[in-house]
Amino acid sequence: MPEPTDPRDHDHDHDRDGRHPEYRIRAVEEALVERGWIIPGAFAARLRRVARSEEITAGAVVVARAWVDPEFAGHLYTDATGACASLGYGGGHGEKLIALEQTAEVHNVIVCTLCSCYPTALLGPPPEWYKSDEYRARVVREPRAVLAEFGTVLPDDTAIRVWDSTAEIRYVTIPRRPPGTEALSEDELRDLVTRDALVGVRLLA
Amino acid sequence: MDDAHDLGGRPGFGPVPVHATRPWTTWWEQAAGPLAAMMANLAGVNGDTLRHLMETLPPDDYRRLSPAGRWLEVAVRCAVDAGVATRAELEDRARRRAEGLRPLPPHEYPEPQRLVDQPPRRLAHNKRDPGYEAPDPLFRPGQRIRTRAGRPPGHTRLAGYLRDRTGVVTAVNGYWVYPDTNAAGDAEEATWVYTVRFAATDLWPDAAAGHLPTDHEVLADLFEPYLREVDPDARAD
Repeated sequence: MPEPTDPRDHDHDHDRDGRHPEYRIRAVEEALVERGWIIPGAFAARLRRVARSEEITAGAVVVARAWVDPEFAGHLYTDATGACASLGYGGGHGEKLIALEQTAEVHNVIVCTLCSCYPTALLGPPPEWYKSDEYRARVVREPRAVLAEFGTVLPDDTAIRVWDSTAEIRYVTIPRRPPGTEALSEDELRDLVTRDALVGVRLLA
Repeated sequence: MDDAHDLGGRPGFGPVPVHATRPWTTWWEQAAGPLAAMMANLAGVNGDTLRHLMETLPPDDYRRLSPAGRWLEVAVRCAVDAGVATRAELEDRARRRAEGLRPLPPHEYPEPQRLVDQPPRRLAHNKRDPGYEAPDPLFRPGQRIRTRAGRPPGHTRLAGYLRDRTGVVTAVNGYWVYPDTNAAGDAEEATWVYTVRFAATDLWPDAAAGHLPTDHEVLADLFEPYLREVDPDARAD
């Protein structure tokens, strides 16, 4: 978790006045505490919980299991909410999960053009690039160009499907198991899984 | 309607910041979202209303601010609505911090008033997949549909680039609370949600002469009131 810094140490526009976002957040927290809405330390504790969720462990566990267990993979592709719940993972906000299988024929990419909906239950909070206006505007219009910016170049005959998360259903893509990994254990396979592969912007090496 | 948040397919955007791989870089960017969620809860605001507040920020502010900056504006708005403090008090407290001064004692600030009448309730308590007594879905997988052309006032999840377009239903994706009315704080209504597949050539029919390839498909989850039946014999246009 980034530590609070004193905004006065920097030299930007609002750094010396109360318009700096950090002072505005602290002002709300201070009013909450002084008027008895929360106890001191409650907001910091909440932020520590958010920071701990900044990891994709759940997504990696699900993908590695799908690679080694065809029965689980079948469950995952028909009812991802139930399959993930069987491993103890689920949407904290009551969302439905859908897992999309990456194949040689079809490559899936996830976006939320209206806000920044994201499968946080499996991947933690979204990275800044996912929330960026550039990604939201462009990936539905020119996905091959956007993927190329991530270094991902797909064969021309691979169809691209871009999934715009416009309701309460959250999508995750399940990358193909890299060749040459037959001898790896499920634990070792987890280490191969990256967040960007589960969003569909990168392939696994 | 400007709809600065409705970005899908809008031209004029540069490279994706692919190296911004963390969810946030500074403390305040991490804190803004959780603060907004906490203040929305105090203000009795549901998840749809929370999105609506962000999406109805003044368009110039929306464009100027980062995602975290947008959350901060929403957080302050909800804090004021919930009666945590007046806007003037929050500005005074922030200014005093910036100047290294102590805040005034609470009783020296005007007593804040709660500006919303809903009682506090938990966020997102009302999202359900089936669960409700549901009517039969109007559409079925494989059916061609056309999306609503207009932009009714208020909240909607039908993105601009998906309006007045023809696509194919690929799945009935559950029966969900309808955000368009839920965001206004009306009584909850629910409706079927469908996954609809659009060919990029149908979304951007003029692109043939342009320079961007349109060999992909876009899929989106759309609420039943957004969809109209297409005569299966009619030529798709």
